[in-house]
Amino acid sequence: IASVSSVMVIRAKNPVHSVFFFILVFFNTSGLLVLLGLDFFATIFLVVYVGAIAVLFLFVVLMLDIKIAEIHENLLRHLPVGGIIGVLFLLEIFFLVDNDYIPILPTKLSTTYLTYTVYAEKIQSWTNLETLGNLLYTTYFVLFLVYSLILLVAMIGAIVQKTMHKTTRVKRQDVFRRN
Amino acid sequence: MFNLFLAVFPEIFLINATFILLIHGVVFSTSKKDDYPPLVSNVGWLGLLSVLITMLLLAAGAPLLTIAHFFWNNFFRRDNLTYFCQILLLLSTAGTISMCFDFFEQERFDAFEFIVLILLSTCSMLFMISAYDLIAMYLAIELQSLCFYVIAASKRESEFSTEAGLKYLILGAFPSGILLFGCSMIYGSTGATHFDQLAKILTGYEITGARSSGIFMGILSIAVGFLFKITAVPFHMRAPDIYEGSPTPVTAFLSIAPKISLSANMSRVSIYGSYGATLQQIFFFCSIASMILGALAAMAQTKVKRLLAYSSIGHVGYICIGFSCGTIEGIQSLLIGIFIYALMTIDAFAIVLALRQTRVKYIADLGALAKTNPILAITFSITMLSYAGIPPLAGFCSKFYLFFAALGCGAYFLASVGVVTSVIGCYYYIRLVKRMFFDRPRTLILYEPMDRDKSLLLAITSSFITLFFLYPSPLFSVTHQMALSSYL
Repeated sequence: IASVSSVMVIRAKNPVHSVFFFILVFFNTSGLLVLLGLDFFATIFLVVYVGAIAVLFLFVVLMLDIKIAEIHENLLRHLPVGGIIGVLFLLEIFFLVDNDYIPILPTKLSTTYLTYTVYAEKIQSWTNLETLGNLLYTTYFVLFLVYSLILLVAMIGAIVQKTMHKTTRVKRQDVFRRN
Repeated sequence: MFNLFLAVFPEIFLINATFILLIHGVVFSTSKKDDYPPLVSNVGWLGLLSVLITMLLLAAGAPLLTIAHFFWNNFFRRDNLTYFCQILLLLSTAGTISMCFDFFEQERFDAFEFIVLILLSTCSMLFMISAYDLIAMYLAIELQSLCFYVIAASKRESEFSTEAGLKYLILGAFPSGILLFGCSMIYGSTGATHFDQLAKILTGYEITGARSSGIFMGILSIAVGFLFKITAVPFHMRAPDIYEGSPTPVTAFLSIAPKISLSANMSRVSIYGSYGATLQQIFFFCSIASMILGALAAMAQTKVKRLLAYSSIGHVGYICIGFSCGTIEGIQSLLIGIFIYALMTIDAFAIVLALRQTRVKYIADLGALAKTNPILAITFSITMLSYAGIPPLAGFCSKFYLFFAALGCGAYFLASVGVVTSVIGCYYYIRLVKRMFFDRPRTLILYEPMDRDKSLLLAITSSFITLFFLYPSPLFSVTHQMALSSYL
């Protein structure tokens, strides 16, 4: 279902339908993750992807005035190149998954910042959330701090764009001039 | 534990300085009582000061090189390579910030966050140079790129700049994705992200027949992502547009600092982490293509910044020669090339910034510079000739050593292509010099004299370029030490 939804994201004529299929892809992926036994990761997937990113897409689609008919005309023209790139990616993935070295019983506690998976140890049964918290704050805390800097930059960037934009557009909207 | 904190003290200082400057800027620039002062020069000088102090802290921490080698088993490795690369990075950042002050005054640029973002990206580049783990490397690259996306789009009244920022965002986000894909492939195939572990796992990689395709894809993707970010050739598409559209100090910063830090980091990854012929082939191809494209495409340019963009692409090609041969001499020549490239680029962009006052965009505007401003013309021609590789100047020394290293490891084709494209590249550099000295434009453009910081910077860098050949051995021995440390 996930792959069908992802194909439908590209092919849907109405961009709002595209976004709906996008959300459907994320729901399916988090379902697959739950089946894999990664409960925390699936929840985070829902929160981050659907809650933030898909909503972002939805807002963009709402604000842009995309005409439905125009999209349909240009679609088939892009098909050859897009098709080649898509086929190349698929071949790569098949090429890689074909080997059977994927560890089935992971015994190493490994994590990175928030979007990676966590394998629980066999001896102690911690929950996913506990292991993630444990590792994120002790072994890898430097990376955590660096990541917080990244988020800080994102905030600064958004605010900077806003205030610089506002200060150069002084011919109207003087009422809204708050720094 | 306290020892280890001391080892990372320069970064801690720089981060704290950034935060304090950010808060200072926010608090004071929104205070109604002071009538919303534009704080950018203030924050700029303080930022420059903090960069210099960071450099002092780094330089004074030299005894720590022997004490604190590892850092939380994950992140850093402080050795000679990081030491000198970080000093070089901080020096070039200080130079670039000092170039910006005049720009701020003229363009009425009052967003102090520019400096804060530059400081943050310098921080992240310091992390990147000393990163010793795939995760740390990726985080630092992301942090640096993110800062740059914002400041590339900072001149809001020209759509050029916004377009450049958007292009840079897309050009930067996509290779970050590829890089992450490569990192996850390698992690998935080997279960290790730390470079030490990777080095041990990947030692027999090329020789034995058990070549896992995941590792191959991972290394390839990391190399591709990295080459995107230093705008080497098959992946350079948006680079001239970005360089041209961004405000000039951003372009200066963009063409110097990421190249230094990414080259240092990538030399760790490719030489220490995954030594083998996979990366060598791709770097080979990219360096040949970069050199050829940098030489040929720059001939048709009419705008100064695009010309500088293409010449930096060409120079990246030369620097990739240093990557392609995996010997110590290769890394040493790479480091020499980067050092001299950084100095030449600071020089070139300082000149472009000095000429910016009357809206120099096209090459034709440089006409008769020799008559209106002869010293500037001489400096510019010294820089251009050094880029071209004319013998007594520093650029020649770096190119010579690069080709020498390439020949020394048997890459004869690479060296010969390098020499040929260097000669072809001479054409457009000398055309610039000719345009300055011998052309007569329709209207003579009068330039204002530039301010003290830029003139100081230009004096230092151009005197280094001209006098380098007299006493090159300190640089050679320093870079040899740096290169050695990445092999130990």
